[in-house]
Amino acid sequence: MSTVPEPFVQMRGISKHYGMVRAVHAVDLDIGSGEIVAVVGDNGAGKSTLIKILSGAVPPGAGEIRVDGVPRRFHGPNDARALGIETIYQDLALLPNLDVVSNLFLGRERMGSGALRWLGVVSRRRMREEARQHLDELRIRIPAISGTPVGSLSGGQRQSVAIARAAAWASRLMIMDEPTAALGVAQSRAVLELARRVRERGISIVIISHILPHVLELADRIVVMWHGEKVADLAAAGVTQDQLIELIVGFKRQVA
Amino acid sequence: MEASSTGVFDADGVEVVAETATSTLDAPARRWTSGWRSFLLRPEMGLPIILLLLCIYLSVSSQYFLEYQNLLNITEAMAVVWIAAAFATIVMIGGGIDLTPVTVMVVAGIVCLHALNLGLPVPVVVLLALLAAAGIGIVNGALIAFLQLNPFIVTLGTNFLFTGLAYVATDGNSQLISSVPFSKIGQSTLPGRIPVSTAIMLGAFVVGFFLLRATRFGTHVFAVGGGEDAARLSGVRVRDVKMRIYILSAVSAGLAGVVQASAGGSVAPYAASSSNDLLTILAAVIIGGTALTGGRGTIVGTFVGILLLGTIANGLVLKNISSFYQPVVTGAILLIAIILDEVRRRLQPTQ
Repeated sequence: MSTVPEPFVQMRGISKHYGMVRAVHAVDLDIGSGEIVAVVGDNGAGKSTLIKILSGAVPPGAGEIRVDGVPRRFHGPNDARALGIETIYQDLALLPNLDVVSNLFLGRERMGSGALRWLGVVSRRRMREEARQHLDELRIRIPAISGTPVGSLSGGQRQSVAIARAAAWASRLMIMDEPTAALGVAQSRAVLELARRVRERGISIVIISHILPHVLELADRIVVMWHGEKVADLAAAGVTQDQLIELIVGFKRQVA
Repeated sequence: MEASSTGVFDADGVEVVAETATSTLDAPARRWTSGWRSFLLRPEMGLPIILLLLCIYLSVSSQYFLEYQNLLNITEAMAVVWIAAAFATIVMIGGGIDLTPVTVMVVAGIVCLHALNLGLPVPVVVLLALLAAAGIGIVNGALIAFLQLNPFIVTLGTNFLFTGLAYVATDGNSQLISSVPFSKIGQSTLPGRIPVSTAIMLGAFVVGFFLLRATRFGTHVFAVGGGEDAARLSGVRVRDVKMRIYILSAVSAGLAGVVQASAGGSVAPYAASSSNDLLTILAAVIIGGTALTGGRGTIVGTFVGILLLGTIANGLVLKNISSFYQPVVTGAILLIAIILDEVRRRLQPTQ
């Protein structure tokens, strides 16, 4: 692996227990600027919990998160968001009954000017124009961005909108939870391509995925979780799928 | 899948995808709104058509129907109750339900009665009534938003609670309100003989429409109704939104209560427990195409819904049919409306 830039996110000794269940135990994780890190592991290996801690959705039981060297405590997703960390949740990324424009700006609506702002009136026109421009930049083609609920879009289109939403607000890091799990071959390819374009904008990506070919194709670095612990942290280049599978099922432990 | 998904609507929505055979297998998002059949099946289209047919029938079969005064009668008859219906729509779109509007109306009326007896000026009286209503809204909202209790059960409880208190406060008797300036609110008319109560109702609908369509609050109401967890993760302050929804609902009901007390010149606690008005409000909202599950609905739909119910009531009078048939027709329309809604949903491509 070539020289990794100074990691801007440093997670140290992160643990989380749910009652007797040890979801995550003493995990360290670094994320460099512009880096794509994949977190893999079997069901229940703790990767989702680890990622939810980083996104602010779950408070860590122990450990420390530093962003740009500053220790941070996330009390909710908004705290992570304020630092430029956006998350695409697997099933809860979008509101199916809202259109693309409303989804892109949900919680961060562009307001009208003057008295309209005071009345809480949004500027649909501004949001529509910015949404169109943003989607064009990411080369996402969806004709009906206004007035059509995203629930009536295809799975690939919905995932594209979710990524566009995260990419629009993430200045530093985009976290993707199983972005290709529900997609067909061609749509998965499009989503991976889109993730690369987001990275080209200088945004780091953490991706959770079960689909190892996608992981190997996209990631710079792969972190393997096993029973709540990090058992491997490797450069993706040169790693084979079989090696990953051995690590995931716990045949082999290796920390690079 | 149909093979007709040509360039108009790219099946994948992402440019880099090659036109492969597999991509068309993934549910192409077809614009189901195109085509006149789907157009007529849209929830916002069914009602106006039924209303239009009814109006045509009534204007042909009765010489009085299109008379200006009769058209005013249609709106005036139920205007008071409908003031609350606009905001009941917002509650339901937000995924909740409010069973207290009629109770709040009575409570607001009782507050008016006592405030007037104290000799307070009418604007202060109205303000106090609206504040009392807002108080009930805050109780509902706090229990639903902060304790995350089920809105049906919470408002069922507060409905009983405040209805009981209304009985206690009035000894169960109807009480007369004799203030002349207060009676002006509900009994005077605007230019064009438009009753003030009708104007207030129209105002309530305009405000409700504006809130839902134009404001951030409106978008967040739809978001909360569409999926609370997703809305929260998107940065919507779900608790604030719910709080506001129930306060708005209660204040609009309080306003309706002021108008009712003024127009009727009395307050009757039994109006809160014996009235069918609550169920009629909920029926109008659902007939208007708002989903009981939240996330979908329109204020305009509710408005057309109440016009339909009002026109039917009026038509029964004009055709000299017993008004006992009114709930029969309301029930039938409610059932037809939800059947049409279900048919429409099944015609939509599944996700």
